[in-house]
Amino acid sequence: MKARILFSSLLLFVFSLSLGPSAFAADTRLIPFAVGYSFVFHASNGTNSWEEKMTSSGMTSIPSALQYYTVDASTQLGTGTRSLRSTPTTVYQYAGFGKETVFWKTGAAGTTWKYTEGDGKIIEKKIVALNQTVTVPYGTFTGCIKYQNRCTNCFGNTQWTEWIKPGFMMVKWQDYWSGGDTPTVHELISVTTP
Amino acid sequence: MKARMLALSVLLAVFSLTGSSFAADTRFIPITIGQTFEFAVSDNNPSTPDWTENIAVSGLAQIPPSLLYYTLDQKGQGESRLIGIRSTAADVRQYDGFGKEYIIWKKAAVGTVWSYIENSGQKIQRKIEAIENVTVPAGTFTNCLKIHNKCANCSGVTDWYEWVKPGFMMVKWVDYWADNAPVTHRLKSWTAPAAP
Repeated sequence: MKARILFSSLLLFVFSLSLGPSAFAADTRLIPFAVGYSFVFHASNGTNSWEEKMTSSGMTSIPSALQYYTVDASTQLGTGTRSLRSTPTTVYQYAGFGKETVFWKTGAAGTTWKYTEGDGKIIEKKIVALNQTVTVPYGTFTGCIKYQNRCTNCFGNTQWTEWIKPGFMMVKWQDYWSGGDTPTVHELISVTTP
Repeated sequence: MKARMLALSVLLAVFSLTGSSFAADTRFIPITIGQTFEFAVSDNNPSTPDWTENIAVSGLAQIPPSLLYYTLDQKGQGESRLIGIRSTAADVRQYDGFGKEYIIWKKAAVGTVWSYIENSGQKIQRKIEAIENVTVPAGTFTNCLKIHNKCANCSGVTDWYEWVKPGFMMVKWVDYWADNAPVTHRLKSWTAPAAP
């Protein structure tokens, strides 16, 4: 047990060295995740409105080489946790059993990619525009990347659109997959730092 | 970047020690990175072929300030998810997000009851109903805890039963809160992590 506590303490010390934007003055990652950051979004489907939250709560290490940020997300349906990591060009999501998928990436307008989720859904993502200016309650963000996404083997309108601010985070998304003719629109309203 | 590489190196060193270095692991469920569990699954629909569900202990999640959860990759028929769990000598806890956890299994006497509310709002009630021997394709496991679970604030039948072998893992579960219920999972095989 003592050895386990020692390991835990060592891990915490190492994490404290490796995390946070202050430790990386020139963090070049596409999305510079850091433990303790929370992003709150206002969501509205035209009838109801509510808040959703994303928090980088910790880190997940998959042997033998990969480290992901543990990102908790609350939605109307409950909570879920994703494991994400970012390079300067790509954000990867851990998909289980040693596999990962490309969640977001940089590229020219028109860049398209696909991946299959663990439940069999085939997700197609496309960069439809660059240098977008997006205004949300939290502020105005220039230079955003706009993605158009859909499930290619699901029924109904599965499209959703995301706006990512490189060097920061997703600032807005618009979702038709949640049902109805009116999309659910999520806009960033606040950010909490550790 | 150097700090990140240092962190990674230390983590890998820790991973290589975890499990095999703890000869007297007293945890209720001593899961270790590299373990895999394969379950044979059948439901109540005769036209549905049986299928396989896999669980792999793939990594370790650290939630500040001090909690470490094993990452379990779970894949069955049409669904896939990641679960974070940790075990003490007395219980097993599952990470629910936003720093919250709940107790899924307890090493306690028959009749012990506990409940919790998930972040989703569902109130889950659990009860240790019996100590039983369980035979599954992987073998016979003695003195398993039979745990009866249900959602107290959900509609319909929400019961499910789990049989947990202390010092090993869950070896069987029967789910009535599912399509074509009951859906029965029986441990078929497992693998230990490779020696360091």
